[in-house]
Amino acid sequence: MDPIRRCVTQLSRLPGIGEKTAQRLTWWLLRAPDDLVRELAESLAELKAAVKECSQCHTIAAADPCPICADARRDRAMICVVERPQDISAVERSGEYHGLYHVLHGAISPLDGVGPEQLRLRSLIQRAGEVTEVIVATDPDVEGDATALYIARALKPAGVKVSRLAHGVAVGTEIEYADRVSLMRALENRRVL
Amino acid sequence: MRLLTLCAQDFRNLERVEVSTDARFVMFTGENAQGKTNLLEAVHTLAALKGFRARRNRELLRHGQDAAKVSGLVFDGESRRQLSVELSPTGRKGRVDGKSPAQLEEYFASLRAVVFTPEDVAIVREGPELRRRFLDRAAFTARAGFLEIAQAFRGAMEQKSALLRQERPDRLSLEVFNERLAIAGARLSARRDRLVAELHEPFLQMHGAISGRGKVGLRYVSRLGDGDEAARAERFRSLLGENLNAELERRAPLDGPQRDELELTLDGRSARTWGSQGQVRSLALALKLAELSAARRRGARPLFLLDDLSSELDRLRTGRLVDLLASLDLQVLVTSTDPNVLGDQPEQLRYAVEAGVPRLL
Ligand SMILES: Nc1ncnc2c1ncn2[C@@H]1O[C@H](COP(=O)(O)OP(=O)(O)OP(=O)(O)O)[C@@H](O)[C@H]1O
Ligand SMILES: [Mg+2]
Ligand SMILES: [Zn+2]
Repeated sequence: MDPIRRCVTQLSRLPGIGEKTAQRLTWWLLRAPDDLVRELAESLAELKAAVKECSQCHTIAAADPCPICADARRDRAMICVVERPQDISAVERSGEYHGLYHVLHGAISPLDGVGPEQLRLRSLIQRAGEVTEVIVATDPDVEGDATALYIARALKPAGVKVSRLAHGVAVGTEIEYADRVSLMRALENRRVL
Repeated sequence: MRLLTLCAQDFRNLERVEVSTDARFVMFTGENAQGKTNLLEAVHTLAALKGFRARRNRELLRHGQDAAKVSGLVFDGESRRQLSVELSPTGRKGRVDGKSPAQLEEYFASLRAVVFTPEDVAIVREGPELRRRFLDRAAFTARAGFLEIAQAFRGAMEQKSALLRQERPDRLSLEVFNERLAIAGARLSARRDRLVAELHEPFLQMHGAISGRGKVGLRYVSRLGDGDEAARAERFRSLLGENLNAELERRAPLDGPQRDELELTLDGRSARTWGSQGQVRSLALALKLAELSAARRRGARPLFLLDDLSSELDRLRTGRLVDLLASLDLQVLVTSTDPNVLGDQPEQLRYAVEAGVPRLL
């Protein structure tokens, strides 16, 4: 295949990138310095090979345990539960939270065939025995709310406090895209489930 | 709120239309199948991002085209805003002054419209589903935030239905979706009830004004009772508890606000069963007028889109209706095959529509 065509095709497979944008990017890359393009290609090749799932919090990182799980300064009495690894950076940006995380890799959605078994829930139940509070920061939508409630009920026997981010985050907003201030407020005003 | 201009491009049979609509009454007249209703539907699409007849976007695109655009200038008494909607076979994109609003609510707040078409007699005549849909639409027109409430309920229902269809539904998941459903259902039921309370008096008044006869009743009858939101949630929880085994057996949700009814009566009898054609029409129209009147009481001024005026009512009642509309102080866009249906109403702009082209009369 023609190398230009090949690059356009590959780029246009990325989310949010259409044929037109892919063409624009391709032509930009053709004119960009060799170093930059090589760096980009290498980083892409390394991405899949070098990252793994953290055996404690299930985030995707270069090391296992991930930098947050390995950080001795983090408050080990708290776990913040999120749907996706990207959500961790959003909560970190708020600057309000210093505990550990737990990534579910999804939310309960029978419509999509996702039940509790498909999520990293069992390990959460194990981890919860060692903490005093679990903050559930799943998305504020039907699936996220149901997942939060599921966690609260599943953790009841462990006797741990389970709270939910307050509604400062607009309904329908994925945590990943919530702004810093509303996340800060949502953390401060979290309510016990 | 006033729509000052309307532009439509490749919208149904409107290839390229640009008209002034800056008048209290805007009237589209002409023979059948010329595009009068299409013009109203274009306005509706501008307000609600969807048509009132089409089930899919594709129907709104002019045959052979894969994009359509409707835009218009809206004046809310203080400032002017340019609204535009771009339609594709699968998507729609609304813009306010050229920018995509961060939240859909922001878009809907810029222009609201209530529509009445001859098909709306079905609201009174047919099953409760259409009456619930009327309520939900009206609740949405009143407060765009209602969309979230309706979606939360529908979302929880869909998830629960999917769960019940599974071979061995996870019990804790079911418990959790039932609890979410109880909260969302109670909120939905309470909001619908509040809306009906707001509509009640205007409904009696409007019905009296257009029909003048018969004692009418309007009541929301919810499976969750008539208590406050918390009481309704409690009621729903116990309903769901009672039905748990039956639902697992039938593999489908059974009882809840998805079975609620908006009861319409004429002299104490069900209008659905006993109303004559004329009575049913008056009731349906009174519901829509009540919605407008209730909106006015809240200080909102939605547009009224009145499709096919003459076929709706007899001359006498048409005259009364026009006077009533004039007194409501709202912008009204009307279609009719009769160019004189509005009588000598001042402040009317009249267009003759032929093959998708409106011409000022
Ligand atoms: N997507 C479309 N593309 C092209 N033409 C369309 C499209 N959808 C509808 N039409 C045409 O538009 C015409 C109907 O327009 P409309 O419903 O506005 O008529 P009307 O003037 O309101 O007539 P009536 O007085 O009978 O209600 C029909 O001829 C129909 O075929
Ligand atoms: Mg028509
Ligand atoms: Zn980790």
